[in-house]
Amino acid sequence: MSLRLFLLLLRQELRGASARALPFLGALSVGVAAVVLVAGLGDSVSRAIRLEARPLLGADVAARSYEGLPAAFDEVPARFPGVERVDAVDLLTMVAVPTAPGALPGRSVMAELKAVGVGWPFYGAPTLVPDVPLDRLLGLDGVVVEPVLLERLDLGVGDTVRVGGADFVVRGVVEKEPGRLPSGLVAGPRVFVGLEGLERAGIGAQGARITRRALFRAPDEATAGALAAALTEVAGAAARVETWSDAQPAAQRSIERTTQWLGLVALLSLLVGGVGVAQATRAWMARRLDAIAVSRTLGLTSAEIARVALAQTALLALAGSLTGVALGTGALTLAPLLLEGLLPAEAVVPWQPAAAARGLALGVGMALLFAARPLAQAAAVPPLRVLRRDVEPLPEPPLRAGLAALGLGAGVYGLAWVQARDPLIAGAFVGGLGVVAGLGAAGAASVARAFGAVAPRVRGWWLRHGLASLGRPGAGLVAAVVSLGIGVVVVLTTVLVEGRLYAQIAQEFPTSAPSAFLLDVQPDQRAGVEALLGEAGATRTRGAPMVTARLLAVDGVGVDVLAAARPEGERWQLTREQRLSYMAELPAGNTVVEGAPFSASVPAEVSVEQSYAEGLGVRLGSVVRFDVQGVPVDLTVTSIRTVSWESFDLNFFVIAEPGVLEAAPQTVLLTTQIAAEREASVQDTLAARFPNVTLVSVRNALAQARGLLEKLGWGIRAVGGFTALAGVAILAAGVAADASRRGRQVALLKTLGTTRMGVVGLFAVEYALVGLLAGSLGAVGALGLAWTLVTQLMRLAWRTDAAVVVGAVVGTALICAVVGVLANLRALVVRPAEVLRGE
Amino acid sequence: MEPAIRLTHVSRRFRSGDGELTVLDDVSFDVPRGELVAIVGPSGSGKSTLLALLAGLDRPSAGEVWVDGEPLHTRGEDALARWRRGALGFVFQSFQLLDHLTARENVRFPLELLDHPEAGPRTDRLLDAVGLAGRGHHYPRQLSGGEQQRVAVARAFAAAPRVLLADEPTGNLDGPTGARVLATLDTLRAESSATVVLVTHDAAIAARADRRITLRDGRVVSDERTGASPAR
Repeated sequence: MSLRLFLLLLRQELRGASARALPFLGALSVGVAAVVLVAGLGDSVSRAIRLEARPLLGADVAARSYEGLPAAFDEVPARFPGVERVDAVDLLTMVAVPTAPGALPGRSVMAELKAVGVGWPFYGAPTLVPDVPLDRLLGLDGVVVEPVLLERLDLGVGDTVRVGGADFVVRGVVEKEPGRLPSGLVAGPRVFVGLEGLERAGIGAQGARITRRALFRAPDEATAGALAAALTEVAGAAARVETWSDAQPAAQRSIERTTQWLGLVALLSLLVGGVGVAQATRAWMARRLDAIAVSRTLGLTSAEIARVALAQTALLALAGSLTGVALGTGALTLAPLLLEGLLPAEAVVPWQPAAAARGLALGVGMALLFAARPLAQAAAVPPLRVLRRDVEPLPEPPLRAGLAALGLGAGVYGLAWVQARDPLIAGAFVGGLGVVAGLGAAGAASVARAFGAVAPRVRGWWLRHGLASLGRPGAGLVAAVVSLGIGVVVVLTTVLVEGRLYAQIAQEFPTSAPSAFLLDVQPDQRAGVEALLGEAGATRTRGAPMVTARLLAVDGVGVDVLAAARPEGERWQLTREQRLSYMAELPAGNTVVEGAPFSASVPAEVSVEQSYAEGLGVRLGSVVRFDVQGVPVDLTVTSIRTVSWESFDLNFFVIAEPGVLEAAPQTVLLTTQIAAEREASVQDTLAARFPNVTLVSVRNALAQARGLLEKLGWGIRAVGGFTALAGVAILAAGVAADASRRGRQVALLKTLGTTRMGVVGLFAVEYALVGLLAGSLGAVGALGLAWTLVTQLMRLAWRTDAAVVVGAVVGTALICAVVGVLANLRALVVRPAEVLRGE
Repeated sequence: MEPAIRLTHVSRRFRSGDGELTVLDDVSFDVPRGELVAIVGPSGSGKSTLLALLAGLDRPSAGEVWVDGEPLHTRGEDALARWRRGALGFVFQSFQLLDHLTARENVRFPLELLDHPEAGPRTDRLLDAVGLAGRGHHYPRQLSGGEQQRVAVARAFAAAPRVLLADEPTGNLDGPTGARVLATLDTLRAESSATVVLVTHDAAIAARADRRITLRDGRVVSDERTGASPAR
């Protein structure tokens, strides 16, 4: 075939394509939009992190420590000419409005304090008002704060605030700080103070919530690398050294994982779109069989016909994918509104060529993959059909059908690989999907058969007719039900899991649980703090000593040896700072599962929580050596216990018997229940009398977690919604493809005396049944998946939210009924005579 | 001179349920070039199957089918499709126009397949000859049945085929309309000197042919000159 002829045929074919274009484009573009949206969001966040990594770290190399930077750090930089250093200290503390002695305490708020040396940071300076270098604003007695702090304390620039034991003048506000997380994710507003100021406040000396950082600027990459290596060597377990390029690897990883997961959900909507494409193509080709047979009689070969049809499909796929890219880009521009507080608005770049290209490639690939088989089948229609109308395309030999199915599976696997960027995850995805789709199809097929069988016995002719229509062979029920059902699974699972999480942290919060934690109470302050709480009407105040320590060895094997044997992501369990307590009796809610705690015969006993023991690789009889602020302490494990964390009570992974840790530097951790309306005044009084004590409100933390959960839930539901939408588009496509048969059916029904409303009712019942079936199958799948996630993965209690499940099933039925009737409008308004004359 | 069509001992059997159904049974005849042959016979006598074999749309179970010097029984499907482009014209009972193409594009289609240098002027001439010069831009659904069939006749003659097959060309038309289509067919045939094989139920139409072959139960039961017009 010459190119000229090919293009002519293609042009002529496209003229007849408008009828199939709509369902085809609809199904495909929705899936592509989901892919582009997810890829765009993931890229936006990753790029923001990459771009801000250096400002985030504020340096080329940084070291941080919770207990103090090693003294050796003072000598190392001298070995590298051109390296500069500046220090910073982060801690949570209360900031209050100072009042005269004896007066009522002023208002207070928990803040994220950052004390910085002169020259901080090397990269990514914060935006300040007035626009004066930070160190000049701070001086000895100044602070620079986030505007929200001034709002909460009802102060302005020039007013005085109390931090710890000293007063400071607010010299300016910080409008933007590079790398700082949005307000929804932080414990309190930012307060900057100088390092000398921190010393004056007297709160940087001890306490569990202090991070000390040393930031270094190097003249070049090579020096930075060598400096980082040298620092790591001298730091050992005492400090963690990072270069700007590996700053935030955890955040990056979690974003990658989220993007990967959402990407697969998006791929699911694209797959459902692919099923729609196959259906639209099959329906279109069914109407073209005569024309194809005529073309073959006139001298076109089946290969030539297939080539033209494939080219036409590719063009449609391109158009559908471009529409999807436009939709996805549009949705991306709205993402900051939806995810406000979770994602900085400036991090979202709506137009992303890489995301668009990904959507385009996956869209066209998916469409061709799913259209290829119906196209090939139709192109092979025997030309004999021009003489005998009943000649249909030859059935595929089983071997070829099997190969085609295998090819489709391999293609989908390839696309999943591209989308997940991981062959194993792609395999699990395709395998799982195959099982779900297979079960769904088998379920739908058997229900359809049952419908057909019971139909004649059902009273009420609408229902009888609806059942019979679905039971009719070749009704296309299975594809619609499976696609819709998968959409229902995604959306309903999200809602169910989210609902359980929400219930867990909000409604099912035990009434006996503490409403606040008090951190960094010094042992000599304990009585005073408890008295203060008692005066405020607080109840159930409990306390336990807390000693910070670092693991040195387990059964004589050094922690660095143990850590080196583990994957990088699991080393933190060994190297992080550990919080130990000591007491004679284990707290309520602790159950000893192995051994027995605290006998007289063994010196220095310790009881370890079960999962924690597994994490450390510790058994009964193991000797664990801790570095308790410079002093090595050996403890023998004599009991392993489980803890019911749901109580939110004071609990520790590691509890030593009394008589071992008393002499170590320590703080007291208090929990208490305070009425919500008194919490603020307790906080203010604490800030005035015990400025080093930090009150963490469980209510606020829960509210924050709820907000975060809601926003994440919205994101997932939005992407899952695309899948459901693609399912609806498929239903509409199927309905439209069936239009001519419907037209005849309507004409006959009208001729036999059915009113138009009667026909509408008939269709509504039929499509509602489709929705009911898809919704029910989807609900079963969602319940199974959500139950697994909630009880097995999150280890939370399960409760079936019947209203949500029933709502999803009924909702699906209603949507299907409406879509079914709307898609059939044309068949409804045609006059019977027009159709019957054409018979 | 070599005949336009030669069938030797042609049989066509179909599997039907458990047994075999013989639709054509040892059929042999020649059709000289330029002749108009009518194939008649009751429903199920094998007329359409015979036509399908002559068009290369089906293959004989036994025997040889030669059309325009081409051994159709030996050729593959694609080779047959390419052969049909220039050698064969076809008129169907149900018109079989391509509904996404205009009347003009339908007539032009076979010429496009041959990359005919005079496709445009020839299409215009044919449309004029069938009396539809003014309606070339209409789509099939905008034309009456008779008009559609005249377009189909024009299309069948477009590539100047040596052989034209017609399957009940007036079967879906009323008397006067059918007569007009037949007249058109006659006109174009006279210009092209094509060999025409026409399947029909209609005795009056059969009577217009040079020769009438009657089939019954897959066998030729009579083969006679009609006397309507002398063989050319």
